[in-house]
Amino acid sequence: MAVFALSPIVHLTVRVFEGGTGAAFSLLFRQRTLDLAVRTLVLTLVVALGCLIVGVLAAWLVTRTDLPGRRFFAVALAAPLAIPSYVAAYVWIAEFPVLAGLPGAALVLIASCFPLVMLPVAAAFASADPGVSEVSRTLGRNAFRTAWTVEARGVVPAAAAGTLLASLYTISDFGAVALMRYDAFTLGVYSAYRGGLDRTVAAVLGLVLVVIATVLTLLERRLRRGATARTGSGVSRVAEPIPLRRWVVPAWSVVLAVLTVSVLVPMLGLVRWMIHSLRFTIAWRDVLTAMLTTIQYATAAAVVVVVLAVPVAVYVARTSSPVGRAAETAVYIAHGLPGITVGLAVVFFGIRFLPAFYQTAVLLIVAYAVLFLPLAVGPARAAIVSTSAAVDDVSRTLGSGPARTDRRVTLPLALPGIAAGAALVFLTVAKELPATLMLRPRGADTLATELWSATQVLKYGEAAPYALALVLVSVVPTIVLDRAVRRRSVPVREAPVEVAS
Amino acid sequence: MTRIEARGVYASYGRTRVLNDVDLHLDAGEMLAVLGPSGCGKTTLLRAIAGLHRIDAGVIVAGTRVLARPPAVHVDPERRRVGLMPQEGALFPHLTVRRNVEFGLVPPLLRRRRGGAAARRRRVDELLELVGLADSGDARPQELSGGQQQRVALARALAPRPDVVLMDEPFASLDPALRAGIRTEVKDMLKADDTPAILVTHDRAEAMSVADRLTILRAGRTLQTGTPVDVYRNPVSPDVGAFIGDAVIVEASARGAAADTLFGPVRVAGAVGGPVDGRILIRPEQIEPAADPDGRFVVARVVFAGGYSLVTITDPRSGTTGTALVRGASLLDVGGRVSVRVTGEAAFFPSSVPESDDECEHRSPVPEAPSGSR
Repeated sequence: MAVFALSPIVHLTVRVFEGGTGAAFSLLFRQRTLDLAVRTLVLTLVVALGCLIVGVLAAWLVTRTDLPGRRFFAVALAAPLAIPSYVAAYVWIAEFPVLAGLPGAALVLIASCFPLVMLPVAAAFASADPGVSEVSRTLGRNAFRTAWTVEARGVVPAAAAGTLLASLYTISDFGAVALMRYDAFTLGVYSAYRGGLDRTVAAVLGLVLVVIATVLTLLERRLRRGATARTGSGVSRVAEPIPLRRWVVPAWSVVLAVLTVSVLVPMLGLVRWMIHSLRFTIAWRDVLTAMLTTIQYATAAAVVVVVLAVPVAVYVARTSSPVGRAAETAVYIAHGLPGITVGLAVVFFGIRFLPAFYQTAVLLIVAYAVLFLPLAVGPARAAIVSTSAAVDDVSRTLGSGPARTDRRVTLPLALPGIAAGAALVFLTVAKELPATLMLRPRGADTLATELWSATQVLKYGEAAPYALALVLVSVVPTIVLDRAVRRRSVPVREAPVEVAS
Repeated sequence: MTRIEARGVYASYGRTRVLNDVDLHLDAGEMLAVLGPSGCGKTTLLRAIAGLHRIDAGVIVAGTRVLARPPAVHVDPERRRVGLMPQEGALFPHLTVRRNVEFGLVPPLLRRRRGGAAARRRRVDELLELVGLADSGDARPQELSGGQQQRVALARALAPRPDVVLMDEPFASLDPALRAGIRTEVKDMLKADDTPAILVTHDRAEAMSVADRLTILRAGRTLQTGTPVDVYRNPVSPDVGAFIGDAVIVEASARGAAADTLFGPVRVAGAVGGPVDGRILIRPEQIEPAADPDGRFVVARVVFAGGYSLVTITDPRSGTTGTALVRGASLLDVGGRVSVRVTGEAAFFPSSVPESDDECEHRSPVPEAPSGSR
């Protein structure tokens, strides 16, 4: 089942090397490839560094200092995760066209991705043993020196893992770089797919992207394993916040600036463009149609993915066999696959094996399933793992066989995690762009592709209602989902953060 | 009533042997405690009987049914007719109390019969009555106290009328103040239901207070089985004796029914015969110290514990230390001289008996002894 997640990629690889390795390598080693690689690398480095600085600073301010309003900021600073990066990019390019290129792409991606660093680092700060810092203080180091020399060491694994996740997001991102007209790898793949007669070029480039993404994913996983800050056990205790005193105003300015760039400008800009476009007639019918299409696809994908994910999750959670570990790794790698390559791979796969379904919703749903299966497997697996084995044992001794035990005990207990996974898939599909662009049935448009089409011809006003609808579709359910999960208080650990919009 | 029996059971996790030739049997209506330090295979033994862990060799039978005899026979847990009461109860958190108890009574969808629901309801009512929770049927497990959860777990285990109830340290997570009360209740309920039970525990007070018989399990081996009094008085080895209760073990030379020791003459349980050197195991309550300026021992420490006192005495010449249990507050002064008398019979072990050295795990080679006395 997990093989399913990787099979289109495998097929893509086979397809590329069908023409002989020589041909594939001659396509690979070209100036064009190098240019794309350098541009993606530069962007990734800038974004990674930016996310690291902003993320760690923000995490430290909201968890370890007495910054007024830090509880509010802790929540507000995570909000950018709910805004698709290409919606933010749309507003920024519409408001400030000069930003096109590297500055705009970097700005938007840092604003979208820094929470990926901030959240794990904040968690590491919060769970760190305050005793260690207190010892450092009594040994003569002041609060700031302790923060730098002692506390910072504890969050290094979390910060590194978060930064890698931000890098992964950046190299896979299609919408933001495309809107900012920054010719990175993903855009290169798409152009080669659209323009070229021979799609092998696109396939080769797509595979390069997969290799980079896989390396980053595996690195991230290694780092994440070491990302627990507390060494000893004992009663967890929250450290005394560090008084900022005269640093309050600078700290406030930093936090407010980050919030302005990442949340306020996109939101206000969106509202402004919406008002602007209200002066003209908006094709409400089209917006509504796109919204319905989006919801249909998202629902269908969520159902299909959950049906596929539950058996995988049950198997992966139970087994410790090499096959199980390999399946887990396969699922994990799949979660880092760029949407653009998966879209491409499914195109190739579909033309070869399912020609009847090419450019139908079926193939699109297959692409979604490949892309987002890991999103559903993660929370479902975590939920199943967190149910106690003793309960299963009791059920067995009370006369229910393994299958009946799963149905009567394990799955009902894991239901919140499974539901969370389904909701996550729904949300992510609703804002998916590159695979949808490649595979959508003729004439069927989602909110994301409508937004894309409008911005491609610089009709920023026309794009506004779609962007707003997208935010509604992604932000509102995010809040509802978050609340629901918190209320059930079922630990949903290791939910992989969605990659590529 | 069905007799449960395990003979020559071997089991392992991966390459680690956990059960090494285990024998036990359980008669009708009896409660057997399996006592051993943590990591000695207690839980594995229960899981093997329940069918949750496959054994490598040996045989497990319930009455005339063979439950396990590798490699051919392994009855799945759902067909063994055993009730399981794991640590902390493990109630199904998504079901009400009533549904928890009913769980093992509900047949698969295709095999439901008319009138089955009413019969189930009666059985559940009966059990809720038995465990004193007739009014809590609609409660969620999370709303119950720890003791109530244990009682629901018991009712749930009893509902399908199992041949045996297996209890895995079910009281370990309870408040110590509640523990004694709950375990007597549970024992009474099992007696009322006339269902035999196996209780595994590392708590010797628990094992001795509720069990009809107990089995000492160490390093996956059953060392001795008997009534608590018998095992306490006549352990098969000094090791078992020290494990089941605080003890002083000293060199002794026995002849007939008496032995010469550091503490003076001691009566030996069971005549020994000719003069034999060996060791003798004396319980703290057998040692009676009395103030005596010419006494051989010095009082090293006196710990007052309410109803009794523990007096630690040392022999300055040999360095031997022992603890005596004295009723009420002890009037002895620390540093003062005492002489000692040993009352009752003590277990004697001739030197020819090799000392068993199969300590279970390195974490706790010594059983939890609150008043270290050896």
